[in-house]
Amino acid sequence: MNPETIYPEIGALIRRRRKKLKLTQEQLAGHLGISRASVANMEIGRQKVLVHQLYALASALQLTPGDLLPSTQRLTAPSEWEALPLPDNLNSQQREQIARLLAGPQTEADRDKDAKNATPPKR
Amino acid sequence: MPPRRNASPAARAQELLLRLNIRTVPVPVDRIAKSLEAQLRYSPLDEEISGMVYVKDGIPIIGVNSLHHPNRQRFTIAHEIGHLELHRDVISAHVHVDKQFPILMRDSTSALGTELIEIQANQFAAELLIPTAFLDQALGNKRFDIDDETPLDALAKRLRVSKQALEYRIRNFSGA
Repeated sequence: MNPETIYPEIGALIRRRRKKLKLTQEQLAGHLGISRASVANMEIGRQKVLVHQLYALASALQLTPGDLLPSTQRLTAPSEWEALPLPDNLNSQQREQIARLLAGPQTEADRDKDAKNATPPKR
Repeated sequence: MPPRRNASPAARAQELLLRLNIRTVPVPVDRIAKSLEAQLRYSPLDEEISGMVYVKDGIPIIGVNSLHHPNRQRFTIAHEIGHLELHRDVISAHVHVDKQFPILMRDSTSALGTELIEIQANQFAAELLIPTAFLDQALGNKRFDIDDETPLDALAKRLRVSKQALEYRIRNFSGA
């Protein structure tokens, strides 16, 4: 399994659930005793979620920890990805990213939040 | 007026702005994408990937690297709209992924195949984000000193483009 895809997947699950429960990143951060920026970074997969945080997240999001773990099937190139006419000059990680993007939308509101809340990328 | 198939990329961008009645800056590239019935998707992608475009079941999907600077995201969207307007057949057959846009604008005559469509998309994007009509007005007849940073910064800010993109655009600005 590719760590580069696991964390964005988990982050997306967290974000989706948080929004469904109408929680702010601030509120969720409060449950975990971490900063809002950390939650923002977890949601875009830039910060790795620790196991005890996964439990706290699940509890705050009224889920079981297992619910926040992406299924292995989605992470190991499903057949529908194979069918995508992707260019040849992509590595496997990039193929997964593009396939994920094509499979599910992220809205502009999410993007604006990403940009606003995320810490600047390391150069 | 139907778009002229053989018009230059810049002319096609001008026609699009005219058709959508967009006269102000910053040019709303997201709104333009929506007017073309394209879905915009923002997602964290590898640093070297700027974006992608693909017509899936007749619906164009434009993907943008959400980890890039917002100005760069705007250029990416404009570039992908360029592909959508100019190269729809290519991006219907294959998922088109754009890695870092090399500075490919000047030597359009010497370019071949895949390079050519990137040059065209860049020319389209440059005109879309920094329209000639706006540049004419902003620069007027006064001589513009490209080495004087201050007005350039202010102009880039108004256009919400990178200074690099603006400098490039001005160097290639014929005033026509």
